[in-house]
Amino acid sequence: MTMETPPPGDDLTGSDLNGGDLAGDDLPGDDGIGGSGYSLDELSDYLDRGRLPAIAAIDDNAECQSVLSSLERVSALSRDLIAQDAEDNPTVDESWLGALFASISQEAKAGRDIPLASPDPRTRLSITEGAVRELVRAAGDSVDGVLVGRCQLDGDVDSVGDSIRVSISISVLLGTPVHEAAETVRQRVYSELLTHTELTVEAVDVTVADVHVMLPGGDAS
Amino acid sequence: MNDEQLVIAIESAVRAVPGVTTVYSALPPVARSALQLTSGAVTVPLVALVRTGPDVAVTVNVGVGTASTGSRQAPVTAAAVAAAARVALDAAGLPDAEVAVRVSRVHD
Repeated sequence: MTMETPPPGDDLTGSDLNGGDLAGDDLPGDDGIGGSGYSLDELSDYLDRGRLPAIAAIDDNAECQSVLSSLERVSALSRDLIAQDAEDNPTVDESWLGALFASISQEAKAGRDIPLASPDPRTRLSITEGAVRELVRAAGDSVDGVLVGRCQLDGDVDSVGDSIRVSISISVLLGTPVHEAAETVRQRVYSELLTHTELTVEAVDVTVADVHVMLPGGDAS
Repeated sequence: MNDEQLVIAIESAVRAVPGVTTVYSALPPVARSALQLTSGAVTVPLVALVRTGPDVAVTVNVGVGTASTGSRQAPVTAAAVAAAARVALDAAGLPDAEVAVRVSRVHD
């Protein structure tokens, strides 16, 4: 099994949770994450600084906040790994992390507005596609040993109750029961979508795209 | 109450809604920066209020909590946000204003 590679044109240059290049500065656009003007690297640095001094352009931007949350979850995984015994203390494959960060950046885009029901014709309620993807990603990442690689919502979402199909690729830490992990991800994602959206979820397809094969020294798996 | 005071009142009301974690800018960053430059304001309101002739449209962009934070479902919180905004609009004599609530994040 291999991790999917990022789309052509993404200038991934490896990854480092401690300040190295996470991905090309031009991801996902020249105007930065969510149009904030800040790149993924700069958001990572901001996180490292404890989000201080506060930057309103980041703190007031939902897409930046979504990316920061994802980076925090990946950082937590990294810290867990470092805490393990030396023999089991691998470094996460950098190309895999690079692809993961590219996905996080791209999926943080607000995307389509998905309507929510409102009894008042003067009121329009909606949830962004980016919010739904973040919800899906967080639900998947909450499963022990799992990191969500990519998340895709397929289907029209123009009307309340429209049907979608969710496709998720996950990477599973070596030693984690794969089938059980995938099923838990599927159930949690379905539950979250049922709770926080009004979409009709036709299916949640979970693909185990990779197993974290952690090699000492950061060699590729 | 002028529009500037009204959007501040709406933002305050929205922040007080249970389940609302953050109020984000309703304007795209570029538009917000442009408004800041042209108005000379130090800060630009997060809630957008647009008048087109007699019509008034208000847009609110929020992040909401998940069940693990004790929050309700996102659609319920979104409806409560709209209701809170409408109370402020009614008080300002704008009961027919259109209100758009956009949930941009659902998070712990």
